Amino acid sequence: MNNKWKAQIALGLVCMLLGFSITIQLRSVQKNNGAGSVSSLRAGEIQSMYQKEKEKNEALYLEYERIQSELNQYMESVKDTNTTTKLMKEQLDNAEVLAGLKEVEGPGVVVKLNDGTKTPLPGEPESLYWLHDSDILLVINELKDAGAEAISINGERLTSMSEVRCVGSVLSINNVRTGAPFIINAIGDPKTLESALLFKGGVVAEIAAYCEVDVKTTDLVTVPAYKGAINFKYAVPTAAKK
Amino acid sequence: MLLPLIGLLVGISIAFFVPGSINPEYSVYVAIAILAALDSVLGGISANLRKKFSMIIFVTGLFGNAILSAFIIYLGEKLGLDLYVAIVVVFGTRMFQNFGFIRRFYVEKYSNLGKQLSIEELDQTNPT
Repeated sequence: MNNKWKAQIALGLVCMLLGFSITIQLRSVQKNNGAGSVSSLRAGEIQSMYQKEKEKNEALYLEYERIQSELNQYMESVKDTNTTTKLMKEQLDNAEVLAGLKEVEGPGVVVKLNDGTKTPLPGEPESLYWLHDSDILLVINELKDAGAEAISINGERLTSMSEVRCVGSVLSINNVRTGAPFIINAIGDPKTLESALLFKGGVVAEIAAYCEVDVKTTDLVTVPAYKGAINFKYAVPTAAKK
Repeated sequence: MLLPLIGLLVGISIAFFVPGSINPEYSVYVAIAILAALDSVLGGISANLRKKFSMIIFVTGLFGNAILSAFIIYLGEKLGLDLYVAIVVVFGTRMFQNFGFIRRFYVEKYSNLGKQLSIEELDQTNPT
C-alpha cells in the first residue's frame, strides 16, 4: 500500500470521526438550547422573557382577583340559605377577623407615640429618649390584656405571627419597616382600653417620662387587614396528621 | 478524495443511529475536538498535495492537539479565563492557511491561465 492510500484512509477515518462528533454536538446544542440554558441567551432575549413572565404574572393576578370576587359572591349567596351554612359563614368570618385577614372597625382607642423632645440630662444616653420596640410591646400587651380585639401599628395589622422589633432606627412589623411617630389603633371597649393604659404608674406614665404618648378614645377606629400572605410551613393541625 | 467524503457520510449516519447527547458541561470539549479534527483533515490534505504526508505526524498531530486543547480548556475553566479562544484562533488560522493552499493548488491545476506551479511557488503566492 503506497503512501497516498494510507493518507486517504487516515483522512477518511478522521472525517468519519468528524462527521460523527459534529452530528452529536449539533444534536446536543439544539437540545440544551431547547431547555433554555441562560448562558447562551442574549440580554435582549432575557429581557423579553422577563416581560413575558411579567405579563403572565399580571394576568394571573387578574385571575386571582376574579376568583376572589367569585368567592365573595358565593359567600354572599350562602348568607341567606340555611342555618348550617349561616353558622359556618359566621365561623369563617370570626376566623378571618381573628387571623387579621379582614379589615375591621369599631370603638376603641388611638395611641400616638413619638420620640422624646426633651434634651437629655448630662450623663443620660440620648437613646433613653427614643422609642424602642419594648415600649410598643408594653402598650400592645396592655391593650390585649384589656380585651383589644384588633390592633394595628402604622397600618400594619398585628396577627398571631407579627413581630415588633427594632431594625436599626426603625421598627419592623410584619416585615414592613416603619418609623416614629407610631399610631396604634386598637378596637375594644374604649373605657377599658384607656384606663388600662393610663392608670397611675402604668405603661403610659412610664413611657411619658421620656417620650411622647397620647391616648384618645374614639367611637370608630379602623384596623386594616393583614396585607401579606400566610403560609404555614411547619404547623399542621394534629388531627390532619393522623 | 473519495475516501474522506465517504468517511464523513458514514460518521454522520452512525451518529444518527447512536442515541443520547452530550452534557452541556462537556460541550466545549467536543466543539474543540471537532476543530482539532477539522484542522487535522485540512492539514492532512494539504500535506498530501505537497506529497509530504507522514502517517506518524498526522496521528500524533491529531491526538496531541486534541489532548493539549482539552488541557488548555480545563486550565481555562480552573483559572476562570476563556482560554479556548486561543485554541479557536490557532486552529482557525491554520485551517484557513491550509484551505488556502488547497484552493490555490486546485485553481492552478485546473485553470488554463498558466502552467502548474510548484509547491514552493504556491507557498509564496498571496494566500488570500
